[in-house]
Amino acid sequence: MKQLDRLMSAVELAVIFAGTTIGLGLAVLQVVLRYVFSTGIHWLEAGAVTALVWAMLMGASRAVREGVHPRVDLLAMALPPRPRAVLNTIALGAALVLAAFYARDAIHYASFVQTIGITHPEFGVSVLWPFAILPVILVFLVIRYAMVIAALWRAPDLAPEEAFIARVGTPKEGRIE
Amino acid sequence: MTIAFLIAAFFALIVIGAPIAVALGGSAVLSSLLFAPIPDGIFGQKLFGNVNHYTLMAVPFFFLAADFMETGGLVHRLIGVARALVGHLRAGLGMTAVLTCILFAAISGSSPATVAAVGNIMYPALREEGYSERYAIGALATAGAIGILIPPSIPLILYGFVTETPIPDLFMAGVIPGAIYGALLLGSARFLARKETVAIRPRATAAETARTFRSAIPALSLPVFIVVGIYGLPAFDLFGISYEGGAIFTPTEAAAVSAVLAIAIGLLVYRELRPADLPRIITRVGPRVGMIFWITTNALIFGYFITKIGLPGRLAQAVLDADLSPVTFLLCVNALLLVVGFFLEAVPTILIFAPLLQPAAQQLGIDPVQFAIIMIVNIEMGMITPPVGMNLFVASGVSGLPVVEVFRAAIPWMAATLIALLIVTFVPAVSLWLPSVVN
Repeated sequence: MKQLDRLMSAVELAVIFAGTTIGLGLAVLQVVLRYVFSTGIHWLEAGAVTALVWAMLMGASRAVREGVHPRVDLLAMALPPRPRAVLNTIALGAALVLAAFYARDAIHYASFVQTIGITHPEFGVSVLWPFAILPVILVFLVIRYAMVIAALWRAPDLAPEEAFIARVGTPKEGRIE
Repeated sequence: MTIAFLIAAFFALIVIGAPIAVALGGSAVLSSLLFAPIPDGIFGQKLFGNVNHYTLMAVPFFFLAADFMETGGLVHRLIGVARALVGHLRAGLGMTAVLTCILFAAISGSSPATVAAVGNIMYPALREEGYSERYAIGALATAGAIGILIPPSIPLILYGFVTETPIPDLFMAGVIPGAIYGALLLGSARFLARKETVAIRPRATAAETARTFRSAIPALSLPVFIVVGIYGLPAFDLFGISYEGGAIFTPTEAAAVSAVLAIAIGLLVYRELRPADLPRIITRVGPRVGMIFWITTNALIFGYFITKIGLPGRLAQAVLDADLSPVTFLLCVNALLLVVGFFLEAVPTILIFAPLLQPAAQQLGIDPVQFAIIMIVNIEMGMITPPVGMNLFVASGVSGLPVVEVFRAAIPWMAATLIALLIVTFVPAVSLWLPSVVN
């Protein structure tokens, strides 16, 4: 689990860093070109949005590991450790099942788009390319939730994300591996 | 039947502790599978399409700007300015803490970020000066809430995004209520300090004040830049140079440029930000904004489904049939959001209730801009009420006090929030006058 976490962390942090930096750079470049040089490049805005959507959707996967996704866990906190683990398994299992359902639906949409061949108006390539991040992060979400569920049973007295961190360790914050 | 199942599934998922995004998306997916089938591929398409919008990109940019400024030495300068303005008054440091929160709110769009950034410096300073734990943490937890009312504001961007209300109007509408709320908090800081045994500081000399303001000019220029960028300057014709006025940047462009300016100020002017800090800050922002994006896209799927089954329309009709006056409706909304605030945070509250309640409000002639401000002040109240009050958790982390103690400390300060809520509810001009003037 530790190795898988390190591999996924490396991908998540790299995409978040690269996507955010590129998105910010393109957005500022667009402003500079428009107001300083009175010109523009037609794909800059779409490029900035796509880069940031990639980064932030990957951030949603990372947020599972860091326990950032808000949830109302009052009932779970009121229960003893093992029933709490059962309830947390059901709650996070629902998240896993939803991500799996979305992944199946996203792949269905991707195959439909490929069949009819839609081209992105700004990029001039198939719309599948910008969309490609979605199935990837949905698979990441499925794996992330499965890992947290597996870890929470090893330390039922801890919150699920704390149990996961206790299992795999805490890599240095913000390190791009 | 479909509506009943949707609501039951949503609350069942919330109660068992599923993430809010999952409760939103899961209840819509389950209901569609059982009662109102949606063709394969639509959910996948919408998940991506819902967040693939330029307007929404203001959220990560404002998050980045606030984090760069926080790391880059901005907060110390803002505290210096606040201290120079009110530090010599009775309860001067308490008022300094409140005023710093107000100034920081003009850069950060997030309340918990304001509590963390100002609290980490001001809490030890207040304690050192002799203020009680309760006073110090109550001031910071409550004053930090103003972060989402004074522009830029992440919840206002999300409100504008989901209800298609112009974000510049929403930002402008938050200014006067923010000033009123800030004045009420400053008054509370002075009033609640009457039992505190703290010395009054001497007034800063003119030279000290000038030095403080000079040092803070780059930090204070950022909110000015954002406002001038989004709203532009008034039209003028001077020495043969004519300017037509009007907006210069969109909110997203202003956010992007302010993020880059924040890096430049931190790296080159204050020199407290190092290039090596940038990857850490960027990767720290990713999961927080990712969470917001994930809730947003699921909330829009929820919104798509409830629109498909006609829930907002039926709710609006029910409100009309009930013959509610606008004031009664708004008081009901306040009561509802007060209860919701106990359990939900700012982002899900806006994304769930804005599309649901705003059509009904509009049917009663309530301006969507005023309605947004009412929702925001309600959410501010929710941030300082347990069990799910984000500011309480952050303030607890800052002070080391239990969450219950932080809540007790915040109770006397809530009077200011309550008065601000009543003002924005009963006096629409407070929210609507400035946008109308600017427009």
